Amino acid sequence: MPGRLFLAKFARGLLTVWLIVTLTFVALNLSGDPIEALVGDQAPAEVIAHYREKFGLDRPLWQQYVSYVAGIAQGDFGLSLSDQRPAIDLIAAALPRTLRLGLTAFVLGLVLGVGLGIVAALNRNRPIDRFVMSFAVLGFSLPNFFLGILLILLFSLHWRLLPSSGDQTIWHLILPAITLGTHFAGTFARFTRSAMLEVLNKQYVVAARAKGVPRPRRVLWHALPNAAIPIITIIGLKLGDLVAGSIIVETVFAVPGVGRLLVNAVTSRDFALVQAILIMTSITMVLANLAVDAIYALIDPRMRAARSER
Amino acid sequence: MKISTIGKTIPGILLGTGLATLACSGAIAQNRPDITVAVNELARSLDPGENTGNVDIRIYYSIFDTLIRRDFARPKADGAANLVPGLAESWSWTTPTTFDLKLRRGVTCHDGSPFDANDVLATFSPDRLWGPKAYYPEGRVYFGNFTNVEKLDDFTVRITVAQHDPIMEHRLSSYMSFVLCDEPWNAFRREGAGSKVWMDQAAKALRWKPVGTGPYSFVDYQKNDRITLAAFDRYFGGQPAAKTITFRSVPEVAARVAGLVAGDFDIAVELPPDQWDGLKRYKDVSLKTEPLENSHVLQFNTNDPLLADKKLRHAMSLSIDRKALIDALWKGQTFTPNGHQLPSFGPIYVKENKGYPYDPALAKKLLAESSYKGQEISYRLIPNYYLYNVEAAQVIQEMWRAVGINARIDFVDSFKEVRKPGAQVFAWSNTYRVPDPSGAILTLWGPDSENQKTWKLYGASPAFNDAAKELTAETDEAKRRAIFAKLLTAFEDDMPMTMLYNPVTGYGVKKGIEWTPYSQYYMDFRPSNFSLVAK
Repeated sequence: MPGRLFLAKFARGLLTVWLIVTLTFVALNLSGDPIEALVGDQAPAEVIAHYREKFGLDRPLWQQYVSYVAGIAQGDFGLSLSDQRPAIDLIAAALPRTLRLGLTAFVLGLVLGVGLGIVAALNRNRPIDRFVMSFAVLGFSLPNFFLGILLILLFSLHWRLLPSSGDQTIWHLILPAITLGTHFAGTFARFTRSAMLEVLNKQYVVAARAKGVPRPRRVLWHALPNAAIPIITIIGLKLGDLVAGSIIVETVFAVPGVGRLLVNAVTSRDFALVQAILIMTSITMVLANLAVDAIYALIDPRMRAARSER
Repeated sequence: MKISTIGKTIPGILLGTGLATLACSGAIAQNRPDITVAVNELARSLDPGENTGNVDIRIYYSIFDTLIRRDFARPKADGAANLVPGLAESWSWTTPTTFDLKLRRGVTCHDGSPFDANDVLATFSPDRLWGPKAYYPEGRVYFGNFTNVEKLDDFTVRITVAQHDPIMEHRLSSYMSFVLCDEPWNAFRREGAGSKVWMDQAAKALRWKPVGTGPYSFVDYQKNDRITLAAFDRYFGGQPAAKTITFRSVPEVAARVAGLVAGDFDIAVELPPDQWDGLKRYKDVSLKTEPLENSHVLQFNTNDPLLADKKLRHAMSLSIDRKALIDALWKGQTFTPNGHQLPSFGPIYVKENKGYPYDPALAKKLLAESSYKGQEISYRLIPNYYLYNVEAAQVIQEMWRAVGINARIDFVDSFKEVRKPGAQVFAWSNTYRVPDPSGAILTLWGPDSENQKTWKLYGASPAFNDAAKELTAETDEAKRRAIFAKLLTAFEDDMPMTMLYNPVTGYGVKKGIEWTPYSQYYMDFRPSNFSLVAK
C-alpha cells in the first residue's frame, strides 16, 4: 500500500477512535452514576460526595473529558473505579483468555464455514446445498445466549459430559468455542457459497474444465483464489469483531475474558475500563480493516495496478 | 517400672500421642474437600470498610470476625437477634457512656501475629471509622456517637460514647465492625503523613490482601473468575471443614444451576424462584431459601402536588394485594413485615402493629374522598435493579387500575434519575442493617435522613419527627418500645412509603453439605454452621 494512502487510512482510523472515545464518554455519563453503582441504593449523601471527590467525578464534565483524553494521549487509560487498578492492566490480564476462546472459535468457524460454503456451491440446489444453507442460516441467526444455554442444558445438565462454565481446562473451551464458532461458520458459509457460485460460472473455470483440470485443483486453484476478495472482507470484519463477539458467550459460560470485563464495567459504570476496552476494540477493528486492505493488494494484481495508476 | 524410667517414658508417650494427634489432624486436614461456590458476582474488594454490598459481605464474612457475633442460625425463641461472643468474650456498660469489652485470648491473625487490643484500636480508630474526617465515611453512620476508643490493657478495650447507646452490641456485630489485624494496616503509617494519605495506601494494598482472624484466609483473586480462601487451622472457633473455598463467578443462572447439578459446584447462590421447582427434581441437590432482612418498598413523594393528598397515598397502599404478589413472584416463601420492623428487633418489636393491610373497598372510599381525578401517576423504576421489580410494578399497576388509580411505569437508569424533579412513586429497598429502628427506619426516614433533608421527598408530620427524636434520646427498653409503637403509627399514617415484601434468596446445595443460609447475605462457613456429612 502506498505511503500516502496508508497515512490517510491511519488518520481516518485515529478519527474513528477519537469519535468512539467521545461518544462513549458522553453516553456513559448520560446513562448512570458510577458512584451509585459502587455504594448502593441507600447510601447517604455524605458517602456519595466522598467517593465523587475521591474519583474526581465532582469536577465539571468538560474537565473530566479533557484530562481523560490527555491521559490517553500519554498512554494512561486511567484507574478502574471498582478495582482501583490501571484499566490497561485488567485488560492485559483478561485478553489472553478472550484470544484463546476467540481464536479457537474463529478457526473452527473458518474451517467449517469455508468448507461447507464450497460444498454447498458445488452442489447448488441439491439437498446437500439446502441442508448446508439451513445450518448456515440457523448458525448465523441463533442468538449466542440461546445456543450457549441450550448446549449447557444438553451437554452439562442432561448428559453431564462437559463443564458448564469457566476456562480452567481445554474441556471448558469446547462449549463456548462451539457457540461462538457456529456463528462464525454460518456467516462464512453463506459468503463463501455466493462468492464461489459467482466464479464457478466464469469462463476461466469453464476453460479449466475443458482442459481436463481435475475438479479439486479447479476448485482450489482456479475458483477459490478468485472468490477470495469477499471472503477476506468478511473474515476481516469478523476478526475485528473477536472481542465484541465474545461478550455474550463469555458471560453465559463465565469465561473471565475481556467480554465479561466489559459487561461488568458497563453495569458498574466503570468509565475508565469501558473506554479502554472500547478503544482497544475499535483499534482492533481499524487494524483488521487496514490488514484487509493490504491483503487485497497482495492477492489481487488489479488493485495494485489501479492504485499505482492513481 | 522405676521412677527414672517413668520420667523418661511419660514425656515420650505424651510426645508420641501429641505427634500422633498432630499427624491425625494433619491427615484429616489433608482429606478435607475443596469447596466451590458459584456466585453471580465476585466481591468488589475484600476491604470491609469500603464495600458492604451483598456480593462483598458474603465472601469476607469468612475472613474477618466481629467483636460480638449475631448467631443467625440460632435466634432467640421470640425471633429476636441472638448475640454471642465473637472476638470479645464479654462486654458491659460500666457507666452510661462507657462500654468495656474483654477480648478473647489465644486468637491468631492470618499473618501469625496474636490478636489483642491493638487490633481493635486500629479498626475503631477515629481516623478510620468515626472521626469527623474518617477515611471510611460510612463508619460514621454506625459509630458517629463514639468519642473515644482506648486500651485498658492488652485484652480490655473501652469505648466511650457521647450518649448512651442501647444497641451498641448490635452495632458491634454488624456491617463496618469487622476487625482487621493492626500490623499490616499500621505498616503504612508514616511520620508526618496525614491519615488519609497513609490509609489510602494501606487500603489499596490490602483490599486484595486482607488479614483477619476468621476461619479462612485469603489465597488469590482473579477478576471475574474466582476468589480462593484456605482453611485457617488456628481459627479460635475450631478447624474449618473445607480445605479451600473457591468463590467462582458465574453470572448466568442457568450455568450456576447446570454446574451445581453436574457437580462442578457445591453451592450455587442467587437462584431465583423460577429455578426452584426445576432444582427439586435432582436428588443430590437441595434448595435452601431464606427471606432477607431487607424490604422492597414503594416510596411516595409526599411533597408532590398530587401525592400530597394523604388519602390518595393510603388508597394506593390499601389496593395492593401483597399476598397475591408473594404467591405469584416468590412462590409464597416470604412475608410482608407488619410495619417498618422485624421480629429480630426483639424487645422493641411491636408484634401487634398492623402494618400495611389490603382493603380495596376502603381504598375506593378514600379515593372518592380524595382530590384525585384520574391523573396519570408516574411509577419510576430501574428495570431489574431488584429481582422481579418490573413484574411487581406491572401487577401493582393493574391492582391500582382496578380501584381507579391510573399509573404509568417509567423506566430510568439510576437513583439520581429516580429522585429527580417529577418523582411521584418509585421502587426502593430498605435494609435493616441493625435489628433496631435506629439501624433502619430512623436512618432512612428520620428527621436527619436524606429523605427529609436532602432529597426532600418526605415531609414528615410532627408526630413522626417528635417520636423519632424521643426514641433516639431514650435508653430504657420498655419506654423505647412504647415510643417505637407511636412512631410506627405516625409513619403509617404519614404514608411516605408502603411495604411490599421481603425478597427471598435461594441457594442450591449439594447433598452432604450441612450449611444454613442467613437472613443477611453473609455466607457463614465457620465450623458452627458448615460441615460435611458422609454420603
